[in-house]
Amino acid sequence: MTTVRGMPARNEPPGGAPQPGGWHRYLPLLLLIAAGLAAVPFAGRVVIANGNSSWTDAQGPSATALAQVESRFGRQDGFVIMVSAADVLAAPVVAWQQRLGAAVTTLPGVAGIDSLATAQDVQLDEGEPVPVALLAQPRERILAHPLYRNLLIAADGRAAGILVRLATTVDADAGIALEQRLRKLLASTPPPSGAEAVLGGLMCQQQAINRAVAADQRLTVPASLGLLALVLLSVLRDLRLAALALLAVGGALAWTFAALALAGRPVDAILGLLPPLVMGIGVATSLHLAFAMAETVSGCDPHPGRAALRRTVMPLLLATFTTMAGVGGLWWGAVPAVRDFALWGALAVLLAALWPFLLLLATAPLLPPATWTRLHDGWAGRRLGRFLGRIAGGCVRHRRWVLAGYGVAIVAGLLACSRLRVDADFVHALPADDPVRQAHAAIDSRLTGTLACDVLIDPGHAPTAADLAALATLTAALRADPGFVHVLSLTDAVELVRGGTGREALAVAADLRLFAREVHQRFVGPSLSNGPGTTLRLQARQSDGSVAEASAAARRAEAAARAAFPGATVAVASGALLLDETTGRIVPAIAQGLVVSLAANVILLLIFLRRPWLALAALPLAGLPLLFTYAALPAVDWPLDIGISMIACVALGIIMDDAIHMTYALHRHADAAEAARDIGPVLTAACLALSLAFSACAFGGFSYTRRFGVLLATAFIVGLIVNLTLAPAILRKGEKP
Amino acid sequence: MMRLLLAVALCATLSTVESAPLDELVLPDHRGGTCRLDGVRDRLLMYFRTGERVVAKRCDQVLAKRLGPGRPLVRVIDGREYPPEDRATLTRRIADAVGDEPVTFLLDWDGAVARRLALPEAPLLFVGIAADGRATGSTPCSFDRDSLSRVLALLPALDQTAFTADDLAIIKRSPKDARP
Repeated sequence: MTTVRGMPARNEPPGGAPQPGGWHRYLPLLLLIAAGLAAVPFAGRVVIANGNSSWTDAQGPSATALAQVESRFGRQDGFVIMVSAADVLAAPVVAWQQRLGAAVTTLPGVAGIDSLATAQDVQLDEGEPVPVALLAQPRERILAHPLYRNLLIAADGRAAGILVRLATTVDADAGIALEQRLRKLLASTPPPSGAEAVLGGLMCQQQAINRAVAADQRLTVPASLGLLALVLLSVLRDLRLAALALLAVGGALAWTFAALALAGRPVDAILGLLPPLVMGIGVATSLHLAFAMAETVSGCDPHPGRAALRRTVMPLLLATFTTMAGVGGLWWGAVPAVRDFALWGALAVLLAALWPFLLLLATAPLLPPATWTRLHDGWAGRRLGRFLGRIAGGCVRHRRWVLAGYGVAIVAGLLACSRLRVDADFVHALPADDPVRQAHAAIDSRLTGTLACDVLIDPGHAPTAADLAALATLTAALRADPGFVHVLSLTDAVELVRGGTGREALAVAADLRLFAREVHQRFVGPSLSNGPGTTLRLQARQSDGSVAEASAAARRAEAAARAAFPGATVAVASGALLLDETTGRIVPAIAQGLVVSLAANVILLLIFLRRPWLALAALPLAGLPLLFTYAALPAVDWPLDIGISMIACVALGIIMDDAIHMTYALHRHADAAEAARDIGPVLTAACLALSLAFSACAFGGFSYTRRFGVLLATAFIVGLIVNLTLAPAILRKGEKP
Repeated sequence: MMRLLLAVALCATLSTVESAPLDELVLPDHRGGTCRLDGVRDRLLMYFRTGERVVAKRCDQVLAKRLGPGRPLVRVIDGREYPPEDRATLTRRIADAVGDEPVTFLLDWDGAVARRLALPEAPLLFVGIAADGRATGSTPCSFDRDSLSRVLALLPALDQTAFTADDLAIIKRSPKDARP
């Protein structure tokens, strides 16, 4: 028998010379491919969750306030149809509004509409208020109507709105269906010549985001995979090895999603972060195995496959378990969706680490030794190792400078993080040519605010004259607040009826209750506490944009209401406030989860390595890259929101993986430079592959897609730098036990 | 031929109802008394919400002329939307508004008339009551010639001549009416 570079020509070792044999040599690989394909039909059944109910706290004050408004005055998160024309009161445009409104009312899920055609004015009949059709009134009264100007009609008569109220049964899926029906209806019932109609509203925005993300994915996912394949090919220098790494990612992804489908768990926006996590862990593990194989094959090990497994099994197991623990640490988060991510993320990490192992075992006997050793001659080979070794050695020699530099960076990072702004602006994150973004901009500028905000005040008794006076003052104050574009209350209806007659406001309000109930019921509802009192409602609208600004205005309104009605029960309901509250819960929940994750990792390292100093070293190695990445946000004026804070979960998983490998290498080698020579190239290759792959997201149209890719790529690169420079400086020489 | 077409069109707009007579039904009136509806036979009944009272009043004025003194309109206010605490106030306000006029408004607080006559939901309905006390049909009404003419069709005994613009011109605004 001949030997290849001194290796025994036996048929057993992975990585040994390919031996002639029957088809059964291919059986393990075929079985693995079959297993991967078997998961695909299940994975295809995974349900995408369109709503965000798993993020929000249904018992929180904002959700409770929204429910209170809904039960008393109907839902406020419906659609807005705006028609713009030279004169929206021209007969053809009015007829179109009436026709369209009638058709909209018949759609399933529509509780009703508010439009010029349905709106009621109030006039006096023998001294008593009586509702009359708004359109029956003279043009100048309609245009200047205090209840409907800047809500249903623009003061210049060039825009009019149809507000579509939703039934309480309409959930996210029904909302999507209704939006499609409305768009179809608008297409089949076009406005008269010269007029233009647009559709907006919170549900439209949600679907626009879904569409933008889907469009981005169609572009960025193939681009990411293409870039990943290119980098893997340039590192591994073999098409088969690159294909194996991609196959490992595919198999792990298929089984992760199959498991989700089998468990009946819909994929929400947070679970949507699983694919990048799987990709990161899968690629890193594949590269670690390939580099280990290259090392043992070129080291003329008689059993290179076994030797490679021996060499990698411990750090890979450790990395897998600690990464699972890291992701699993999110289980202690306060939000159900984050807790769920902990469970599924841990499973995804396990699968992403398992698939490369299985593929290595299946394919190693099939590949010639030269396949593995080729990577040593590439850019990520030994030359890079020597270079990184020199850097690590330099860091050890100049450890004081390195540590001082990191000290300064940490202080600067903490200071920068203290300037982090928590906000979200979904409508402006959409591409500039997105129809919903344009519709919201048009509605906000020409007609009214796209977002509803309601202030509920329950003084605990029937409204008194003093209450109405306070309400009038409060209404005027909110109207002067730039955070609101339209504010209405009972006092506006009272003033409308009272005119200049000088009648008592309370008597007019009582008349409204008796004789114009529809108008009255718009502003007055049952008590918030189910007691004998009544709820006064301030109905306001806000422009779409910054959630922080909209919620700040809502909080100002709440404070003003509490000041105007001391002792009254006050609640403010707005979608912006709910989102702000949700962000306020999720961001700390993730931070808390990350702290638990890091602690769990230290404990695991202590158990496995029994070296407290080494275990503690993993803490800054995994934590600092996140700190530095998030510290960069204020510099680029990116706010922190739910999506960006969740990026930490993916980044931590992958950086933790690197940190464990680095720590273990320092554990194995007496010299830090030697450890960096050994592990540095593979860490660099994995970092580069993933950074480049995720940087493809920078071409996305949705700004959150771009931020996702850029931040992840930044976190990986910062993680690599920290691992290769700080670890040697902290651990000095990586003394062996 | 035109008459036939008109008759078909009128029939199409009338609701077909499965109703029971109003016998033994007792409703309060705006004066604080009660009224038993046994005697409502061969009459028109106007069933309306207070929000439609202006239209109802105008229709009432136009129809009263055609109905004549022998067949007065039965006016019933659909008061289902009023909670109990508002009912006394509303009754008093109606009494104040009616004053000495010889008309009576019956108040249906719980929708008994609507149930008994199987009336559809509408702010203002006219119902024909046949000689046996059952509803001949009902029709929503707005203040225009066509819908008022449809009301006439509910009672075949009435003069079925369609209303003209002059018939509707008798309406005069009260001096107290004013647009605020």
